[in-house]
Amino acid sequence: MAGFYQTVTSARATEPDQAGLIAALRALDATAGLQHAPGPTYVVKKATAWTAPQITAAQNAIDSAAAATPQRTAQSTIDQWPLDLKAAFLLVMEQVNVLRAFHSLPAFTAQQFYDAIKAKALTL
Amino acid sequence: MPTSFLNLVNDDGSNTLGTLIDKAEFQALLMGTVVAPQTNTGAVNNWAPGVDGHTFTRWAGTSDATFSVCAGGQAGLLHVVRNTGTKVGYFLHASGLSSAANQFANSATSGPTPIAPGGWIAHRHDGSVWQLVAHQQGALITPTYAGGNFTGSAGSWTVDAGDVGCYAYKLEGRRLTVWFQLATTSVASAGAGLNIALPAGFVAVAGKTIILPFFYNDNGGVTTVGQSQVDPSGVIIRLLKIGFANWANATNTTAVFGMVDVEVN
Repeated sequence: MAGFYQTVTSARATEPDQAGLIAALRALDATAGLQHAPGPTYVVKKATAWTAPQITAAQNAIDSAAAATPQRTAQSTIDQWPLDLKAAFLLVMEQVNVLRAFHSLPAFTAQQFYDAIKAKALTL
Repeated sequence: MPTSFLNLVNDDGSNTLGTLIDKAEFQALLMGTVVAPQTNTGAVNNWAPGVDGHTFTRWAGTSDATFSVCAGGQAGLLHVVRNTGTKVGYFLHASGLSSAANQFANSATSGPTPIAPGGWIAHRHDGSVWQLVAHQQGALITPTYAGGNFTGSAGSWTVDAGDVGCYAYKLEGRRLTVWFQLATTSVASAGAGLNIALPAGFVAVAGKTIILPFFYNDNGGVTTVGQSQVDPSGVIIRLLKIGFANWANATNTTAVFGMVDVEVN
C-alpha cells in the first residue's frame, strides 16, 4: 500500500505511550501508522494525502498523548501475552469460576478477567 | 661514483650498458604510481586506469560503477583503489564480463566486493588474476529500494520506500552484516515469517547461520524480542516471533528492527 508520510516535531518532554498514541492516530485515520524512536521526531504514515487539519490533529495527538509508564506498558504487554501465560491465567480463572458458582456469583469471561488484570496493572 | 642502470629494462647484466635510470624511474620503482583520479560509472569491463608498477588509484564516479577486470597486471604488482567520491564501486569476483586475464579473485564469491565512500580495496597480481589482499568497505551501503526485497512466508508483507529507516549492509571478508529498521509496514496473512532479502545477491554459507534477536512491534503492539535467522535457501533473512506465531494482519503498524551477521560464499 502506497503511503503518505508526515513528519511531526514535538516539544513534549516525555516519550508517549505508543499503544495509546497509535490508537489516537488511528482514530483520526484508520490507516495511520507511526515511525518513532526516542526523540522529538515522529513520522506518521497513512493511505491518503494529508490535509492541513489532519496535520494539526496529528500534531495535537502526539503532543497530548499520555506519557509512557511501566503501568501502561504492562497493559499493552498483557494484550500480547503468549499462550503459556494465557493458559496459566485462564486455568486460574476457571478455578475461580468454580468457587464463584458455589456462591451463586456469575462466572468471569476471559475478557473480563484480562480487563481486570489490566486495571490492576494500572494501579501498581 | 658508480653508475646505476635500469637493469629491469635493458641492462645486460654487466652494469656497463643500458639506459641510465633517472629520478622519475627511481621514484616509480620505490614509491609506485599514482594515477589520475578515475570517474568511471556503470559497467566497467576491462578497466584500464593506468596500472604502472605498484599503483594507487582514486575513484570518484558520479554514479555507482561495477568493475570486472583491471588491465595491466603483472605478477607481484599491488593495486590499491580508494573511493574518494560519494558513490559505490563494486568489484566482481571472477567475472566473465571481461577477458579472463586480470580478473579479480575476491574473498566473497557470491556477490561483489564493494567500496563505499571512504573505502578501499587492494589486489596483488599473482601472474594471472588480481588476488584480494586488503579491503575496507567504508560507509554502509543501502541497496536501491525494491519492494520485492520484503516478502511474507505466505500472503504479503508490504514495505514501502518510506518505511525503510535502514536497510544497509557491510561486507568484511566473508562476513556480511545487515542492518534493518522498517516501520509502518503492512501485513496480510503473511504467516510466521517476514522475509528480508540478503542484499547484493550474496548467498549465505549453508549450515553456518545463527539465530539472533531482533525487536518488533506487531500491529502496533509493545516492543517485543523475536528471532532472526537466514533461511536455508541462504538468500533470505527470516524474522520470526518467539513461538513461531503468525504475524498479525496490520495496516502501517508493524515494525521490525535488528541486525544479522552471516558468513557468505
